[in-house]
Amino acid sequence: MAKARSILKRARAVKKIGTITSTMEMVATARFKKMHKMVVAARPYITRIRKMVSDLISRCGPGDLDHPLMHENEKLRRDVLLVITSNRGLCGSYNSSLLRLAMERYNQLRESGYDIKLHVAGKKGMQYFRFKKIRVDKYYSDLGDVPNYNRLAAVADDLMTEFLDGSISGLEIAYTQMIGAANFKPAIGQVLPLTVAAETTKEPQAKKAFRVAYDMLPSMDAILQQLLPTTVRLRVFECFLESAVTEQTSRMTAMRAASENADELLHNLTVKYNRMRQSQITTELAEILGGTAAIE
Amino acid sequence: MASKYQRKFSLEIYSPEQKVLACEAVCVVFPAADGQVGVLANHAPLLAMLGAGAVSVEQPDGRIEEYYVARGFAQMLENTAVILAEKCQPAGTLELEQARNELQTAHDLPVGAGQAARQRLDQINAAAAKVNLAQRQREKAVVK
Repeated sequence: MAKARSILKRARAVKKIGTITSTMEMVATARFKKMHKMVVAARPYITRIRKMVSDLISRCGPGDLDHPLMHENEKLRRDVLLVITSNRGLCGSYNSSLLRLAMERYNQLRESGYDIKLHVAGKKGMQYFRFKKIRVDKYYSDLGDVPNYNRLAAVADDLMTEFLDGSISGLEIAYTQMIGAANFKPAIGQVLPLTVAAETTKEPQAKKAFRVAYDMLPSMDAILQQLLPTTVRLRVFECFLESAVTEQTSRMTAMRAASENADELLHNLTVKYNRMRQSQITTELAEILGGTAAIE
Repeated sequence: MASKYQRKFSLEIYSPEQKVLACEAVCVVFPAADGQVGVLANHAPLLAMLGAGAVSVEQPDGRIEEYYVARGFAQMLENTAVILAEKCQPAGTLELEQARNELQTAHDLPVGAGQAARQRLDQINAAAAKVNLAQRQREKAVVK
């Protein structure tokens, strides 16, 4: 009976774990909905700003556009690699696959002669680099789990100031990209030096000629000078936003798989326990019957 | 009381975090980089850089709503005005004390040079505009 009792004990533990994972799945689902709402709410602003940039660029021609954020610094080879990870674990391969990609990029840049300044957001990334004994130049510990535009804009502003001062030659972000509602993959996005593309819609030539003539206040140049830093801030915000959503998606999937696994394990253990109990009863009955027969 | 303006146009205000307002308006006044700009229906296409201050929206029924905005852009095209503001908040929700603290923090920033100096000045202007608007809201509340 000792073995049967240990199976029972294990089944109880599995049941408890199953309850925890299904609760975590529910929490992740609620957080995912909140984050997804944020992405949907941010989308009109981002698309409108992008449209404005591409519209203005197509007006002035890509060659005429000149902003210090777009200048490539060929003498300096010092890039910032910003790695966005999560603060909490139990989210499947979310952190490990992102950190693998970030490491690959880190090594690749170092091999091509770059001095990398590593900036990390999220405890998991920090733990990983500490374990690997790689120096982290800046750790953003106060960004929280929910991306806040103003706080991230301040981060982007600091990085832009460093770029304009000539302390760094570029900014790349390792984040988890959202592909549709449930799919994601780790990606590296180049943010600085800024590259902008003119509107790519196939506008008929005739329509192009009748393009709306805006009154620009104060001037097209001044607007572009402010619009381009805004796109950098938005790009950083977008990366954090997508990372936050995909973290919850990943946790949801991982916890669902864990709950299903726990259910299956519980079922198997229950069947095993019942079989064992049954066979014990059969043995005991056989012994009693055997005993009775011997007395008679 | 209906508005003195007859013609309506649609207005949308967005911040990076949410859609703040979508409604019909008859007159919108916003702070452009070099002064206040007012827009009525059928205004010519306009693209303006926003400064810091109050956006005042007059609705067809004569109601006026105010929002605090800082840093962003305003666009008027085909009778639709779109305001994209990095910071945007209904004026009624502004806290005077908090705004004063922000102004103090902005003043306390190191003066610096170049980009840093410009950023400091922007922050001071934005905080000062917030204090003004919050003060006005408080006075209105007292009068009521």
